[in-house]
Amino acid sequence: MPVKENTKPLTISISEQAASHVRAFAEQAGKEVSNLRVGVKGGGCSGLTYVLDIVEEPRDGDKIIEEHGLKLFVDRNSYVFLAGTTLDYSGGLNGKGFVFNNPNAKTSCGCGTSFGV
Amino acid sequence: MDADSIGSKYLGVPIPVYTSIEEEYCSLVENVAIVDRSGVGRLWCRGEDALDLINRLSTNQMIGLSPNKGVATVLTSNKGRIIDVLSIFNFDNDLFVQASPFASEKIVKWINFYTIMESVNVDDVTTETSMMSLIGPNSSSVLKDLIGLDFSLELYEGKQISLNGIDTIVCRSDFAFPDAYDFIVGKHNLDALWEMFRTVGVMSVGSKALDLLRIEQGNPSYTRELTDSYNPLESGLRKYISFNKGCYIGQEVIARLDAYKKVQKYLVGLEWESTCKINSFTGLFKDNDQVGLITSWSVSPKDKKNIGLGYVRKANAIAGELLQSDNEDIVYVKSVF
Repeated sequence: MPVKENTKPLTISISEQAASHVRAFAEQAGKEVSNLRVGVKGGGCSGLTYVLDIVEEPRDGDKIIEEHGLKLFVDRNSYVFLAGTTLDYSGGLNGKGFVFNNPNAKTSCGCGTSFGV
Repeated sequence: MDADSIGSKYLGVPIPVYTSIEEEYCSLVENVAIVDRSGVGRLWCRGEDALDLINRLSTNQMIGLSPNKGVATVLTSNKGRIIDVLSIFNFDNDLFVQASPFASEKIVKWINFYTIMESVNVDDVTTETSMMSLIGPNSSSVLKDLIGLDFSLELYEGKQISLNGIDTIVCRSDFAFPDAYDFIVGKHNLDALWEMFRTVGVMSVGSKALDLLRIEQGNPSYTRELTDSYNPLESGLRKYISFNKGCYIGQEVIARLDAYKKVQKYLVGLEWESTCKINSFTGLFKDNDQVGLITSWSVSPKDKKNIGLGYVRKANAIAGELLQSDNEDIVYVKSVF
């Protein structure tokens, strides 16, 4: 019996470009570390809003992912909304900033800061 | 029904009429009356992120809500449709939330779904508390002169007090404008509270007279006018929307509807002759096209005409417009909310 392959990666990744921008922001802010805490909170036009913070330590229960020399701390309760997401950085016409390529997002608002599942 | 019946004996089953609708309605609009509104949903929303979370989920500005102050706000879906209208009071950063009758379970689920990283705890106290409202132009004087309350409350202001030894939350919202006070007590204390007002001569009023006042004042009701078929701009709830507070669920849709004047229908007050056989959810027509729907109705004791609420297309939502029911009876658009 053929087994359907689950192609959605159950992890969260960060692009090299996004990682270097996180380091640059941390440096500008005078922070010694450039660990990034990622999560989701309720609200925003489409229902859920991404949260990004440069922090020193993870919180209890955070999932820790290392990539491109950067530690990503992912909020435990937010993980279900973020599994498979790649955090990228865009410098295009739509404005500079971090972009979440989130396969769970079925809708997103005009400004791109919130999404619905 | 005996006029001396104590409201709390019938909790969960609203008493339709104690004496007569006419007499009870007159008390509400000309004097003062008490109503058992224990069906209204009551929640505590606690935690350091509670105010911020509700602000991100609903239409009105919550940030900066002072202690003992309240605000009405609309929970909306990401399509800008109505989930419910909440009255929220800030007591030492714990939020006391009034939801529509029978809506509390849904509201708890809604808030919990969106509580992800936040420190927020929602406690549904609807079944362990009771709520009585004092309504009418003489309500303030009854509180001061007969009950001995030595303070007054503005609209959307609340206090936690001891009323003759009973721990009570007293607050004012615009459910029954302009003179209504809500009293929330432990369930076992409703009898004592009810008697406190009965013994100074305040009349008990049932749900039918209260619903008549609601329809007359254009207050939309959960499952009738407040459903996810409508948005707050259609339902006369503009006063509960902040257009400059920033993002909340459904904000983009509501801002676009307003900016591009795309609101398609409005909540209206309706009137028709009492001899006509018209029920709720009857269609309204103009030149054989359906342009609206009646959602609530009652009989006005003033002139014995039927009055109702309904939604009517924008082009026909004009005071004085004449429409037809599906029985071809004339229905008059009295007001637009």
